[in-house]
Amino acid sequence: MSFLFPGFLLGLAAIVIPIVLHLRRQPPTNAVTFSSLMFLEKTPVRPKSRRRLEDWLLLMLRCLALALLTLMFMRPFVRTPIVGEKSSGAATVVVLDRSASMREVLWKEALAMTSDVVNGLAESDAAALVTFDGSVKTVLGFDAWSSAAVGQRRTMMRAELAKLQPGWGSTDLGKALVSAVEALNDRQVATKRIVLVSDMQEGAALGALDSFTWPEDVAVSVVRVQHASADNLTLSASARADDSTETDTKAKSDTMMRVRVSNSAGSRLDHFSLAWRGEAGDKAQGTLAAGTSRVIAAPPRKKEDEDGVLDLSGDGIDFDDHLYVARAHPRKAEILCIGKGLSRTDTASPLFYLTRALQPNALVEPTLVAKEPADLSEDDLAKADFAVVSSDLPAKSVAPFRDWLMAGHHAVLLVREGADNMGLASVVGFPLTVSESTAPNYSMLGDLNFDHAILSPFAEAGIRDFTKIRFWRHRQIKVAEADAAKMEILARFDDGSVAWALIPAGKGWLLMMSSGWQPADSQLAVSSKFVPLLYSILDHAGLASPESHSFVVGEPIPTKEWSASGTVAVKCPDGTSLPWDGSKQGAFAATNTPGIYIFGEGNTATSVAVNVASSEGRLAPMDEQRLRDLGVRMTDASRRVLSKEEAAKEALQQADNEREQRQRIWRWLALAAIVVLLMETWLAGRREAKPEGAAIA
Amino acid sequence: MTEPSTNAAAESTWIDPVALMRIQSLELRARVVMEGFIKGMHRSPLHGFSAEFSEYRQYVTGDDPRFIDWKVVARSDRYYVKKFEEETNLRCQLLLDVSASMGYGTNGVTKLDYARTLTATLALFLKEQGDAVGLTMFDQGITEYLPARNRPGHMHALMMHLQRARQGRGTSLGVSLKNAGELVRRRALIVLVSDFLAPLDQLESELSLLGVMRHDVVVFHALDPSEIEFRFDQAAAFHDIESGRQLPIEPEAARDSYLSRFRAHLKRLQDICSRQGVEYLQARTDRPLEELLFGFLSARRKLSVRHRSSHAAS
Repeated sequence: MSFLFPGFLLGLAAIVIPIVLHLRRQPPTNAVTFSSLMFLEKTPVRPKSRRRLEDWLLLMLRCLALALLTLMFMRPFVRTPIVGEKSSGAATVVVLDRSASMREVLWKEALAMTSDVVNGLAESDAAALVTFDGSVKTVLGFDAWSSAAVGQRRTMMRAELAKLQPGWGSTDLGKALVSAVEALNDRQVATKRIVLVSDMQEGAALGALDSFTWPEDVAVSVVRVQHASADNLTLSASARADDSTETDTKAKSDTMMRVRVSNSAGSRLDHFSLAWRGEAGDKAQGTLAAGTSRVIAAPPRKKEDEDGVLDLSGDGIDFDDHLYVARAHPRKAEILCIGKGLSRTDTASPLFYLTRALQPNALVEPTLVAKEPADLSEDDLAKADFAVVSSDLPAKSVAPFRDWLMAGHHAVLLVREGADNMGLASVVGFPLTVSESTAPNYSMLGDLNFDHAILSPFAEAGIRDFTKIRFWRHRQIKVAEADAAKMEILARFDDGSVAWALIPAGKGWLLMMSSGWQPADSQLAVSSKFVPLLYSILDHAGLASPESHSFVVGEPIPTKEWSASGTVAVKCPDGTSLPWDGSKQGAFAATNTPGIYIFGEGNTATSVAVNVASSEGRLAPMDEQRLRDLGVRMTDASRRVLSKEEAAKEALQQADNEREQRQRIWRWLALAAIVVLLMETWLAGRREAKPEGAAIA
Repeated sequence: MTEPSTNAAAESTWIDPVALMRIQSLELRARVVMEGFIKGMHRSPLHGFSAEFSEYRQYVTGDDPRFIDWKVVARSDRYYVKKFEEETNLRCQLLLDVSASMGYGTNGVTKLDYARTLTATLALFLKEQGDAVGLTMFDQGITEYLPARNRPGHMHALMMHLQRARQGRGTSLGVSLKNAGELVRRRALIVLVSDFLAPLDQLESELSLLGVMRHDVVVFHALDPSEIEFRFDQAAAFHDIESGRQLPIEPEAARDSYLSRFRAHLKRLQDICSRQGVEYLQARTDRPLEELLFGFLSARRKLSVRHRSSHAAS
């Protein structure tokens, strides 16, 4: 039998205590009442020369209880072979970080540290080398290691190591650790280890560890590569939604490019400047406190129709100081025109004027699709980005149209003469009554809400006069007082009736116009304000601003980003050209380098910008406690890889731990100790209850 | 004619003290004892045993005809009765030690029970013969005092006091005897019943004072057999019933010392009594009371007969 904690054997010395107490001279416990002690003197009580059997039994039970408790703490076990017992030896996965933050000076240092780790590996043990950034790649697997001859393995790994180059991807540390654990799962060895060589930046992603149960037999040793300085400014793209400082609706419609500048925690830098590469234009300058970030407007470009690079200056770490910006492409918008007898050539049809007003330009590339109400299908709605409805919808189309609106689409509804109230109410979502206005001659717009984004382009003094537009006919729309708040009135006629009202519908909205723009109803289509009004409506629907395609290194570019079909030549930032057939190969995944990727050639070419993930700029070191909190078992970072003898000893210790945990002999010892103590308690109680014997003969 | 000191037939009826103490009523118990030892007496010692003949006087109607001296009648043809010196003055004061040590006893008989019964029996006996009996109970001082009387109801009161007697505190023989001497002015028979487990330093002087006052003192030394023989064999913590003190004692080692000291104390007591002319009787609680009192009374009777004879001869 062996013991996990033989040191507890010292506890057996406690057995001396009951023996000493048993043999000591005890003062007489029984008392005798006597008439007077005047003739008596204190006499020493002789030790009991003849102990009763019960006393010896009690002593034995007490000694036995102490012995059992001592044995229990020593955690005994029997060294029997364990089924599935692992062989001695170790398996090590060397995980090397090759994300963007490891570039430049850090990479050389990382290679040197990794080489040291490789040198510490035992040829007889199993080892593997993987690298990671946003994805994990096995450079040298366990099988390849084992297939090499003993004595050649470390050399082979060092050779593979020398071939490696840092990447531009983000740091998905969680995925890398999980992948390393999975590689170790199949190894039947006593010691499993992951050696992580990384800068352990705080921007590293750990999400993969959230729901991962770390095995007890795998430990991580971190070899940390330190940045010389964590003073770093990072430049990244900013979505318009990032611009939380802009609450003004006018400003939100501004197409100025915005970027985000971040300053790392603890940075001593605070001043930066932005300038377009190759353009001798204005620079944008600013200051930023450490640990903060700010969205600012990029300096204006002189060559907006070309791809560009915005450079950030102000720090010494370069990899995250450049923002690639692809040239803007007109946004494609399919506009579904639903109405009876729509015609692109008939001047009486609303479509005639829409066709001429909405021409492709630098901002938007509209496509007008005419549809009879009866022929309207859900597929038509699914393809459409916007709708103009000039007739009543059939009952079967009302609900799909309403759902389409609620899903985040937008439409203009021209309320015609004799419109069906019920159908209209179903479309707008509340009851209303429509009647033809009886205004004599014509009406004019008398009350316009220039604060609204749709009319804000007309807010300036010279262009805000709508009185020259005459409305020959219009409908009077009446709603209940309770439903009036559901409409945002953009314009009224001079008789007070609603002219234009914006009705929110779920994530979308409906712009209800109580008069058409065709000449039968009004002069709107022929006014100078018609086209800017239409584009303002489209802009409010998010369809009139150019799209800029930007992705992160390692992120696949979906096929819809480029307009050409079939196989296209993709020009990569490093100058190489890759043929790519999106219909067969799917999203373009070779975004390994930041820069502009050009899909196609000539006028149909589409530029897509790929930038370094902004998280790579957060260079402050991560606290390893974060990993421990996620359940990762860490070893001392300074602990070297064990020698073979030490590994064998540790393996034996682990095997012993495992044997003891399986056998759990201590539980039986505890049970036996409890039984013995119960017997001792009973016997001691029985002995106390028994009379001492007559004090008087 | 001499009376046998013991009567074999009567001796066979003497009651074991353990059995005697089962009689709850003290008066009944005393009566049983009294009748027990009276049976052993050839002649009833009810009268005159402690009296001393002093002179003749002429018989008057109402005198007890038993005291008519028929020899004088034969000689003088006149009726004369014997007048005893103590005939009208005999009084007895019974002094009972009720200290805590008297509460000790083995085999179911405490010294106090034994002494109380002894005292009650003597009281009854003396009352039956027309003597005045009083009672004094003491521990560290006098706890109860009944002067010697021979009135109706006095005996009942005395018995009641004895019945209610409970062991008290420590023992102070000298103080108690001194107080008793101050209370009993007239010559009396003083019967002292105690275990004398206290310093004897003042005892002799107080007994001497009582002798000067012409009191007749008798000492009954109540002892438990275990006190006399120290019959213990198990080591134990011995607890003093009076002081509460405890001593761990190994009996085998302590016995010789104890017996030596005890016997020395006993001898000293006996010597004191002897020097002061005090009659000493050891009253072991395992000894039948009838035997004790019979022996005492018989001895007294012999003593009174010798006195009368010598007085008559003079």
